[in-house]
Amino acid sequence: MTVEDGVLSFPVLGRPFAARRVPARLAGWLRESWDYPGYAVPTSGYAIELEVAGAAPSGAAHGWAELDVVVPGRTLRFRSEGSVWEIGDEASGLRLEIGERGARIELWGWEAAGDGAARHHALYVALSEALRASGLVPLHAAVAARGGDVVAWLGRSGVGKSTTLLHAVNAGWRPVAEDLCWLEPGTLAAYGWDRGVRCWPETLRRFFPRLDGAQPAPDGKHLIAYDRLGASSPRVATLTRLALLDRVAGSATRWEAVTPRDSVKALWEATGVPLASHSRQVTAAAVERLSRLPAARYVLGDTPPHLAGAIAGEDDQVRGG
Amino acid sequence: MSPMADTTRFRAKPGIVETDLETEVVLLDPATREMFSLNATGRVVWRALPGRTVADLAAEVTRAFDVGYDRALEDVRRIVGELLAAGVIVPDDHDG
Repeated sequence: MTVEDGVLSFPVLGRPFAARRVPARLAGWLRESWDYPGYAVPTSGYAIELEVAGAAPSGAAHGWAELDVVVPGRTLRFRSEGSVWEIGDEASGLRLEIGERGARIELWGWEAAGDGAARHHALYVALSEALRASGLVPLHAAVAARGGDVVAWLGRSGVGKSTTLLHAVNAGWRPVAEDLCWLEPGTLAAYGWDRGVRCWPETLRRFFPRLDGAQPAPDGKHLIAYDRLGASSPRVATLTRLALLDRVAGSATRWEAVTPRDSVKALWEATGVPLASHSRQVTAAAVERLSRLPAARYVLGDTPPHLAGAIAGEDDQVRGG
Repeated sequence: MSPMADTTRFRAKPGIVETDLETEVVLLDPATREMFSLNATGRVVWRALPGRTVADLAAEVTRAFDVGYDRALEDVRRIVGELLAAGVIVPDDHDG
């Protein structure tokens, strides 16, 4: 990461990224969310530019198509025409332009905008779209590796991905990602894209007391940094299996067979649907390829977890603490 | 829904994304995030859809599977009806 002449720049998985005229807090957010210098990825010709402008760009978006994007806790309404997407109004907003060789994001009224979470979500969507346009695919999954086995645990928010990942770590697996990784579709290499495992305090106390006392996050969860879990950096691994997580109270924890159709549906939920049609085709190809991996459903019930069988064919011993 | 004529042509709704599993197809409508699965017969119908009438599609099904025309036509009408109801295809107003 470098800052020269007011330009913050660092590669995002090999894609050159440069941000101009960004205020300090935004620069901090960009570094925290997007700067993972440990990954040795060849430099890409696809560049991503971000600039904070003083006013909205010219060219009103009248008559543009509207498209809702669902992000955690809210829905963002973008407008689009061709390869340009906008959100916001004259006072504050964001414009994303996707090109064949690069993407440009323009922000205006950034510091004056009232809802900080909404504008960060919008910028996150825009940067994700830029990375998608460069050929990568996001995968919301917990990922763990052991030997040649690399499992992506797919499931809705709150279903138990983080807890399952911690159980896997206790059973000797190496954490790659808790909730998000970026995928190279050609190789299925998954790059972990988070800073640690977030877990409710009561879950830590019950199953992983040795990890209790971790750094608390604003939402009440504790963030357990990967180095506390023995994870080496960089956290990259090539996916070999899928586990579709489900939670059924009152039942036993168990493995079930799934169909390729089940995998496809879970994968689309995990990748999300891109804004740009070209990126949709890239994602569809990735989903098709991923759906050919061995897959099983892991139903979290009331009985103790057991990671054996469908995941690795081994008799894992899951240890508490 | 009114009965469809066997001379009616259909086309995919623009933007529909498909995932081909070789024996079946999963369709995704990006606008609604709804997904729709087609079995092997439905996959043949989906693949053959552009520019073909319902009757043409039934003939295509008889070539792909060991099934008579009347049974194939019945299957195609049902599949097209389901695709229409799911909003992933629309009638093609263009001739030919």
